[in-house]
Amino acid sequence: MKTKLKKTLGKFINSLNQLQSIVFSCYIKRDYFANRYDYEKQIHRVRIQLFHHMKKMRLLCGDQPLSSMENLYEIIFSLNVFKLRVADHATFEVCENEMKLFTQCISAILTNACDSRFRENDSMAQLSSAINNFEELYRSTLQVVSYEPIVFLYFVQNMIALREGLDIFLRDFIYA
Amino acid sequence: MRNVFESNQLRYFFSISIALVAALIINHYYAITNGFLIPLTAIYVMQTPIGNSFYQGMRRLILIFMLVAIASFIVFSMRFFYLIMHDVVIGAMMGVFANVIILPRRADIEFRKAVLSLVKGFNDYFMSNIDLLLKNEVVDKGNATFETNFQTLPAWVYEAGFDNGLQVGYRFFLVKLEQITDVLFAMHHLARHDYDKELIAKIRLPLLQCAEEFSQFLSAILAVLELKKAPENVSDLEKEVTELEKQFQAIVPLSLELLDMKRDYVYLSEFVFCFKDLRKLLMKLAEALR
Repeated sequence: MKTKLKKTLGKFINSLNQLQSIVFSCYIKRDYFANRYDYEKQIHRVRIQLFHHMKKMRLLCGDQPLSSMENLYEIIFSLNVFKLRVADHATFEVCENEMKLFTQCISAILTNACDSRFRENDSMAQLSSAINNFEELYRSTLQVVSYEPIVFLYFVQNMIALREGLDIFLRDFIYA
Repeated sequence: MRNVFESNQLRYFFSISIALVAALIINHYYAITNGFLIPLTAIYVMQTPIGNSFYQGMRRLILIFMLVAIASFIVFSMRFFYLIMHDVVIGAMMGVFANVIILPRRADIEFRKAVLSLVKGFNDYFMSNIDLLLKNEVVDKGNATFETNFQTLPAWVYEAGFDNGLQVGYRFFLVKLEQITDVLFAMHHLARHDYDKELIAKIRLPLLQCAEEFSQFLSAILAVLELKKAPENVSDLEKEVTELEKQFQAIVPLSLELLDMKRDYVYLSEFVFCFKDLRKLLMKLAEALR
């Protein structure tokens, strides 16, 4: 039972990692508009996979609430909404490096989550520093160049929520 | 009787049965090998998603062709290749044509069925998010039901080989539904947060009024999808969203620096912004249904 749970949890983490990677690639890759439906297709596929693993987790965990897992993917979907709010896709070119750093940090945290030798603090610190960098960029540039600067503030808050959510998730499921 | 043939499962069942009987007869008279390859191949190439039977069937034929070619290479016999391929090609052609000609499954019925359950789920999930934010003595039910509704969404809309004319419209509709799902998940994440009770009390009434209009709009979309008459006088939601924003601005400072200071403000401001996103997406959905 415990092995099965661990295996399903691993699959869930893997799907979550794939999801965040595709969501961020929509901001990083410049061919997004040309191949929009390819990206949407990938998101659809991973989303179905993720929900499938959630269903399995619910069966295995019984009455135990999985709100920390739900919260994690909800935040990633919130990050996906960001692209609807920024009318000019070229704005993302300004923060391309920051976006790359975000996806790398989240990927490092999720990929190594099940590894006992993994030092969580380092990756979390990197993610925090990436968020701070983005916040700085937001205050110095994005606030000026963006048509609707408030959506970047929402993005920053969602990134902070994601960091906290990852922290809670790791504490509840991985290190428990 | 007409209803029987509207069910895609039954259409598929009849199509496979007829193809199987025909394949067994052909196998009896024309097959070279004794392995029932004609009916087996016919059934194999008929296992395709809805809407792209011909393309996916031909892909399966190519796959079998490659497998037979590899097997022939291993046994080093061209005769083996010709004998097997004779039966395989007959079976595959029968399967592909049966799929395309004999009671083909209707993509529109399947698509509407899947979309209907999701849109129903939208309305419930949306209202439960509002209740959760306003803390109307509700326990967070989580996302289990909503996730299940989502899993029925047809992935074949994205597949290669699906009718080009239909694909553009279906794909557009599906993407909009997925984007609405994202917005609703974002709202759920924001609704989970513990807000200052006084702040929530101030926004309660305009939020409930706006939510009620959104719910009615979703019900109207549902009625159209169910091929019923759409209710009249459904608002285009612009007035409601503007009013909600106005009310929110009267309560919360909208200066970025001030907003930044308190998480409650940012979260609630984003929750209100989600109404704007939702309106945009719902209008596009309604336009597509017109």
